Amino acid sequence: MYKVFDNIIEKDVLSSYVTSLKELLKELGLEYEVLANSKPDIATEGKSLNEEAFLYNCAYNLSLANGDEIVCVEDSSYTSLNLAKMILLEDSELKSKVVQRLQKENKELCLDVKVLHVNDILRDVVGFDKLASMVKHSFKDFNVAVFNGNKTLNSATVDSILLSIGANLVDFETNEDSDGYEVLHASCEIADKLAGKVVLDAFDNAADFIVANDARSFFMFDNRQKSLEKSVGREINLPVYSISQVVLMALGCTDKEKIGLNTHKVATTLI
Amino acid sequence: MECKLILQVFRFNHKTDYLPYYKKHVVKIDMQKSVADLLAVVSENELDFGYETEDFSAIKINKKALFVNTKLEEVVEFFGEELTLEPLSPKRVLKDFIINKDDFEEKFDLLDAFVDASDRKLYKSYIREYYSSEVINLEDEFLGDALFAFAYDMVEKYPQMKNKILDAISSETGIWLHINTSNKLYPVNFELERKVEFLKNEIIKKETPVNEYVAKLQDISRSF
Repeated sequence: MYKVFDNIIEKDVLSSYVTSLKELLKELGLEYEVLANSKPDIATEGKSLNEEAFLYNCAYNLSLANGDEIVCVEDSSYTSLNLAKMILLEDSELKSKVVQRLQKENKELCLDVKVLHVNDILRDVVGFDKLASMVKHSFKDFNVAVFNGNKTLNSATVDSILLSIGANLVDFETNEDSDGYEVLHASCEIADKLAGKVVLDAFDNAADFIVANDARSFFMFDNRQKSLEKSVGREINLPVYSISQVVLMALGCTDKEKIGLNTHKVATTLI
Repeated sequence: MECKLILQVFRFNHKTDYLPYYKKHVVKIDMQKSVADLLAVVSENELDFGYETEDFSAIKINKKALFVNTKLEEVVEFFGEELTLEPLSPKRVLKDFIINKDDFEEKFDLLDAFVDASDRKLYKSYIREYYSSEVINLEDEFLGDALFAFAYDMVEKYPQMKNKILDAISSETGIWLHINTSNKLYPVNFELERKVEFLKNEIIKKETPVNEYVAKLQDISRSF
């Protein structure tokens, strides 16, 4: 049984990530439950302000797994949980502080929990060949800009998933740049300029849409796209999707609500 | 062992050129030599070519910042045989690979009073970090990543100066505008991220916030 981590960063406006992952797991015939009563992912941005709170939230979430594998729908939560595991394994002082806090909530620290990314499931459980054989709507007529960002994970896996569904990958210079989210609280203006540069670069390289593996990138590129357009002085209107959404569409799903497309700021024209 | 490299070399003279351009070079060079040696070979075939080979001279190869003393063997192993050579900051070029570093040098002054004059050399070693952040092109007042890496080192070296150093980098155009540039450096280096994270945590933990923005961040951090 997979436990889906749904308490992702900016979850109030990024429900599409979780909606589409649940639908994808259903489509693939994989059993799952939501990791109930989890603490929010405060991401590396939160870690840089309060490392103890970051470690506590992650440790709390790991303790909820009860021997099952946790599945993350995007990079930030995946990184947070795995990073916390690594830090707590190495730093006994921090570990002891976290253990004490967990005990107050009747929780036991468990670091022996496998944390998977949806990309891992598509690669290792489904497999690229099988995925290709399941495609009902090929993306062969679409140019896709994969944004890896400066905190990229398994970028080769993402490329392979997209190639399996027939997509053409677009080369664009800013695909490893900052998406701006990390300075959003300090300066919206600078954050928008950083994100605007990336989206415009993808657009100018003939991308039909962007695939964002990290919820923070999605937040900048989709939710703030109107603001980015003002920042760069150009109309862009470039859709942004998560990998789960793109794969669902390739597998033939056309229900916008099930894919989570109804919550996007930039309207989808693919369906 | 010699290897054939296909180079696109940045050229621009701020006194005579309106726009920069790239000149193609195909060179055979011993892989045991350095990037500085490669620039010297280019210089033999280019009229009036500007580059530096002093301590901590750095350039960008295929968009990643590296010191010119890096061995070509390493460069080719990582980037391949087709290389685009650019200055650390194309916007600040005086001539080809020589840039105006006044902005980088000036930022040191902020911590000058809390450290020894001999520490400046260490600050200079962070030139790659400074010019790898896009934020320096978006906000003139941004203190720059070199100062944060240096501040961490100085907090370790002069613990009695810790509070003053932390206050100096806490302004709104300070450490809060840092973006992760680990993948813009060759070799990829996460040390700066570790240092910045430590400094931010220490600033937030201080009892009296140095400014309103830090007070706001303290509120956010308590809400986690």
